[in-house]
Amino acid sequence: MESDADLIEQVLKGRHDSYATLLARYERLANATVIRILGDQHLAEDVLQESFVAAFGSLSSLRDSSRFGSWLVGIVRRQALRALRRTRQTVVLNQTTEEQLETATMLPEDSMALLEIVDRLPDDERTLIGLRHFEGFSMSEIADITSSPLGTVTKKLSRIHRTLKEIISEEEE
Amino acid sequence: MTDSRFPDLNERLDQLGRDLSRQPSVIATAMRQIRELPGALNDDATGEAIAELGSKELQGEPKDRLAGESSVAHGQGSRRRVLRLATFAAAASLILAIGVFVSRPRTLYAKAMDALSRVQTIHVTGWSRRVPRSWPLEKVKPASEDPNKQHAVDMWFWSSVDGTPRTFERYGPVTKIMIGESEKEYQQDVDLLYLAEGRLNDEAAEIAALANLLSELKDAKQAELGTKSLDGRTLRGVKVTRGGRSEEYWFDQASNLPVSYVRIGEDGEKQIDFTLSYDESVPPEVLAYSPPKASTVRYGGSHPDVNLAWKQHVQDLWLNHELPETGCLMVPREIKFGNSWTLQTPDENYTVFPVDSRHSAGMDLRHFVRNRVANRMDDCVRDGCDGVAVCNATTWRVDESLSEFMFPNCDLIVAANTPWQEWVQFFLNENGLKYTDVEEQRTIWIARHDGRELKPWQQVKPPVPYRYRGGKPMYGVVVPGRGHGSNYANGVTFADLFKGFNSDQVNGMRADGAILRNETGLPLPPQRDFETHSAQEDWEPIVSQYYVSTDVPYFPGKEGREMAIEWYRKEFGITFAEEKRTMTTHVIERK
Repeated sequence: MESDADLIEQVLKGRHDSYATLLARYERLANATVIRILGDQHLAEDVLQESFVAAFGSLSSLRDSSRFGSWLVGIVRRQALRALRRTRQTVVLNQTTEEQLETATMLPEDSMALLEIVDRLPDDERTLIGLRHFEGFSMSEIADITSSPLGTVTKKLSRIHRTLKEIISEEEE
Repeated sequence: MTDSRFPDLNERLDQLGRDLSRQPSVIATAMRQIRELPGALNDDATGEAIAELGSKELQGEPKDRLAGESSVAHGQGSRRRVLRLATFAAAASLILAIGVFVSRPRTLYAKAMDALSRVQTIHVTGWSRRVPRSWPLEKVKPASEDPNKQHAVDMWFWSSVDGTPRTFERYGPVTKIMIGESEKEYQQDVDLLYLAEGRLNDEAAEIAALANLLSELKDAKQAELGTKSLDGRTLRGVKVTRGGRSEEYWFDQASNLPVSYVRIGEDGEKQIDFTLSYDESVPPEVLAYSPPKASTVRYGGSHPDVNLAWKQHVQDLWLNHELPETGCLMVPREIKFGNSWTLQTPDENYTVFPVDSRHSAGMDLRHFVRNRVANRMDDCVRDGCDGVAVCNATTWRVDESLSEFMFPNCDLIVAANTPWQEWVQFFLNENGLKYTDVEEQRTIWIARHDGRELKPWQQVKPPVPYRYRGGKPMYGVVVPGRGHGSNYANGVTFADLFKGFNSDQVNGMRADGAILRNETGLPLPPQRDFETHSAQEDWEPIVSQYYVSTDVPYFPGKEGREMAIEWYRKEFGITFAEEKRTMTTHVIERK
C-alpha cells in the first residue's frame, strides 16, 4: 500500500486522484471531528468540503508527510471552530427552535459519547484510531500509510487503547 | 457512563466507525471544486492554483498572486516546501505592483526572491535606530525613541505545520508576534499591549523587512560592490542610492540568498544593520513567546473576536468624540456588535453603556433596566442582597403601555462619579420618558440554609433532565425545571442560581413578584474584575471553587416557584421564608 508521503508527492506532481485517495483514508476521522464541534451534519459537510480544498492548497507547506492525517484534522478543526463562531451568532439572531435542533442529523448517543472520549486524544493518536477503527485498515496497512514500522504501530495502538480504557473507567467514578 | 455501554472497546470503536461510515462523503464534491480551479488541469499551473487557494482558505484573506513565478510557489517533481510568510505576502504584492513577471529568474532581485521561496525559516539579527510600533506612542515618550540609540533586532519568519505564517520581531523594547492574522505587540518601555486581528496584508507590507528591503533592488541604478569572502562563502554586493540615502546588500553567490543589509541615512549615519540567516531551528522561547499582561491594552484591526471588536469601538468613541467633563452623552450607532457590555474608556474617566441588542434592532426598556441600570444601583447592596442586579430590577415597574418601547441603537457615555439617578433620567428624557419613585409594600423571600454539607456540584442537576440528541444535551430548549445551559461547560455558583431564580420570577418588570434575599450565609464568588480576569481561563480557577450545581434551572411563574422550593430544599437544604417590607419602586412612564 502506498504511503501518505508517496501520495502527497504524486499530488504535488499534479495527480489529483491521489489526493482523493489520501482524503478517503481520513474522511471519517475528519467527519467525526466536525460533528463533535458543530453537531450538525449539514454544516459539517460544508466545513469538510472547505477544509479538504483548503488542505489541498496548503499541501506543499506540510513539513512531515507522515503526519498528513493529524495535519488535515487540525485544519478541519480550525475550520469547524470558525464555522461554529459564525453559527453561534446566527443561532442567537435566529433564536434556535426545538424544531430546528430536531433536524440536525447526528450519531447515536453511545457513539457520540465514545467519540467525545476519542476526541481527547492527541491528534496523532486519534489518527491511528481513525485508520484502524473508522477506516478498517489492518496494522500492516497502517504501517505502510504512516511510513512506520509495524511494531511501532502495534505498540502505539495498544497504548492508545489502554489510555481510552483509563479515561472510560475514570468517567465511571 | 457505565461499563455496560463499553463492553468491549474494539467493538465499540468499530461500531463508531460504522456509524461514521453512514455519513455522506464529500470527497467527490471537494475534488470537483479542486479540478475547477483556474489552470488546475495543467500540471505547471496546478501549483499556482493550489498556492492561491491555500492562501485564501487558510489565511482567510485573498492574497495577491505571484503570477508567473511558478517556481516560487510550488515545484514540479520533488516536493518543495514553500515558506508562506507574511514577508512573501508583501513580496507578492510588490511584484504584482511592479509588473515584473519572469518564468525563469534572471535579475538579482528575481533570483533572490526565488531563493527565498525555498527556505523554511528566516532569521534576522542586528540593530536599528528606529523602533517600529504598530500602536503609536501615546502620552509618554519613552527613552527608546532616542534617535542615536542602537536597538537590538531579532526577527524570525516561518510557517507553522499547517502553513500558518508566523513572525517574531523584537526591536529593543518592542516585541511583536503574528500568527496568521492575529497580532500581539508588547511595548515593554510603556507597558502597553496591542492586540489586532485581520491585518496580515497591511502589517506584512509595513513590516516585512525583507520584501521591502529587496524591493529597492528593482531600481536599475545599482552599483556593484564586488565580491568578498565570509565563512567560506563568496558574497556579491550591490548598492542602491535613492533620495540621499543608500542601501547595501550582500548576497551569497551560490544560493542567491541575501545575507546582510545596511541602510545609511541622509546624514551618512547607519540606520539599520541586519544579518540574515536561513533554515535555522526556531528557538523554543521564540515559538512559545506570549506577551505578558500589560497595564494598558489597545486594540486594532478587524476582529472576528466579537469581544475585541467591542473594546476597540469603546476605544474609538473615546478617541473620536468630544466628551463632557461631567454628565453624559448619547451617541447614535448604526453598527451592531456580536457582543457588547458596559465598559470603561481607556482613561477610566467614562463608562460606555451599549444600548442595543443582539436579538433585535435597538434595546427594549426592560432589557435596558435589567442589564444597564440595575447593576449600577446601590439599593439592594444596602439591603444585603447578593444577586444585586436582579434584585434591583425587581424595584422597577415599566408601564404596560411601554411594553413595546425600543430605544434606538446607541451608546450612552457617562462621566465618572455621575449618580445613576442622573444619567438614567437623562437617557430616559432623551427618549421621551421619565421615572418617578413611589413607596409601597413588597413581598420578600428570605433564603436560609439549614447548615448541611453541600454535595459535589457535579451531582447537582436541574430537576428536569435535558433533552438529548446524539449523546449531546440540547441546550437552549428550556422548559420549567430544565437547565438554561448558559454555562454548560462549567458549573454554576449560588450567585448564578439566585440571580436566575429571581430573574425568572420578575421577568415582566411589573414590580409585583417576590424579591429574593439571600441570607443563607453560603459562600459566594468575588465580583469578577474583567480587567484582571478578562479571559475565562484566568477566571475559571477562582470561580470554580464556588460551584454548587451543574446548571441554573429555569423557574418561571407559579409552577417554577413550587419546583424551586422543592429543588432548593432537596439539593442544598435551603428554605424560603416570606415577609412584607415597604420599599421604593421606580416607575417608568412617558413624559
